[in-house]
Amino acid sequence: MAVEIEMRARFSKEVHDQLVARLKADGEDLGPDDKHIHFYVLPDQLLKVTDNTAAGTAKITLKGSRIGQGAAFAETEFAIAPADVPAAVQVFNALGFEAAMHEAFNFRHNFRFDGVEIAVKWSEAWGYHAEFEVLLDDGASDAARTEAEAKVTDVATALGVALMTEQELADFTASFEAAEKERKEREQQTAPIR
Amino acid sequence: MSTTPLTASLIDLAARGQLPLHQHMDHATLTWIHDSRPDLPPTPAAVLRPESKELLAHGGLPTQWWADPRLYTSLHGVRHAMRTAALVAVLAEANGLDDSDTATAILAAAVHDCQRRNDQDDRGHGARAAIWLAANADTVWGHFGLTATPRRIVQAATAVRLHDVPYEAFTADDKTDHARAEHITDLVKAADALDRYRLPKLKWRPDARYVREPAFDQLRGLAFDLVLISERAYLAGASGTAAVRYALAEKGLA
Repeated sequence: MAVEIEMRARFSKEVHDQLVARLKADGEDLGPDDKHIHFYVLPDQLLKVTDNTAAGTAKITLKGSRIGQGAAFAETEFAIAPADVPAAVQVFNALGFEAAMHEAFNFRHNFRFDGVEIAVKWSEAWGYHAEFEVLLDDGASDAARTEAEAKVTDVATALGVALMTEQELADFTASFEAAEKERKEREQQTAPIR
Repeated sequence: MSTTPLTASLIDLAARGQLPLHQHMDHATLTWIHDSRPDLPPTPAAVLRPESKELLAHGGLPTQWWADPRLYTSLHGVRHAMRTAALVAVLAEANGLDDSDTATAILAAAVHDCQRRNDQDDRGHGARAAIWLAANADTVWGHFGLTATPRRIVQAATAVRLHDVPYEAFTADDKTDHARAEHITDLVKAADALDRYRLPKLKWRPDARYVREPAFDQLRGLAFDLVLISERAYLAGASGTAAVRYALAEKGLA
């Protein structure tokens, strides 16, 4: 199982535009990578069915911890056909995960800068944000993980982006989940007379 | 029996005078919209008051509010509703409307087409939506976190009822009603017209002769960009609400 060192930042449109301009000038442009994601927020894991709409591929991913529970994510994933995405979602929902399911479309553009992959994104829940990632081999040492976290932090600093702390991430995701729950309940109650 | 192929684009169907009852955006039509961008003056950066941004965040109306669910994703569906509401919010700033009238105009714009039965002329859909709005006022205002009051209901319902009635066709009663909600009605009609850049024929594009809004021409560039960004995002796979919210963010309106 590979290990991702993954850190995030949220920012304004102005910071987004400055970041993209800098990455286009000084980084490697890996291209657009829009995704339609069904994700299941489980007690200690994150399960995702991802339709890579820009790339024309799809995959199922299980992450070993939730956002806000540390930067290191043990990750298992395998490819599926894009046409099988609805069936995969149906299977997970039938297994009892439907109440934990959220759906999001991510407008995403990938870059590489100084050895760190950076996905610059926009989604309804997160607004403009970026994911900084270093992928480590299975069984990477604690020292390697610490070094990777420092590398991501250095790159973010060099790009003028403030990374979110684990507490900020935990608070943000908790707030999102509460808002989603309220939205779903409100939608179920909404049935105006004709 | 129609021999029109199911895969025909709106731009082709419009040219042949064969647009169907339900009209959905397609890649060929979006490419045509992009390629036929007129020479538009740059739009001054729009700054919305926080209350308007909050209302626009609630602009993704429930599918159940549409008289025909098939229209939720069509040319007169939720994307048009959200863009019209956003353009009303910008026009409200340009016209110095107060918070109450701005909120009423945004709400009216968001629901103005929800009782359509099809994407064609559908005469009377404004009147149907006005009746629907009055009957469901508490639900609709509550959705936006607002309180329905008699004055607000009358103003919003008037704007919704008159949005599809040309000024030159106003009856004496229409003129009396219009006088009670003049600014709100004029703004909804202008914003609705600005979003016509989504339509698949050049002669259907926004025309200042049919509206009463001094800032109309200044907003053409913004209106065009909102259509292009949101329709492109929708065809890329985003939901209608996500597509428009992304466009609003890109234009600094979120």
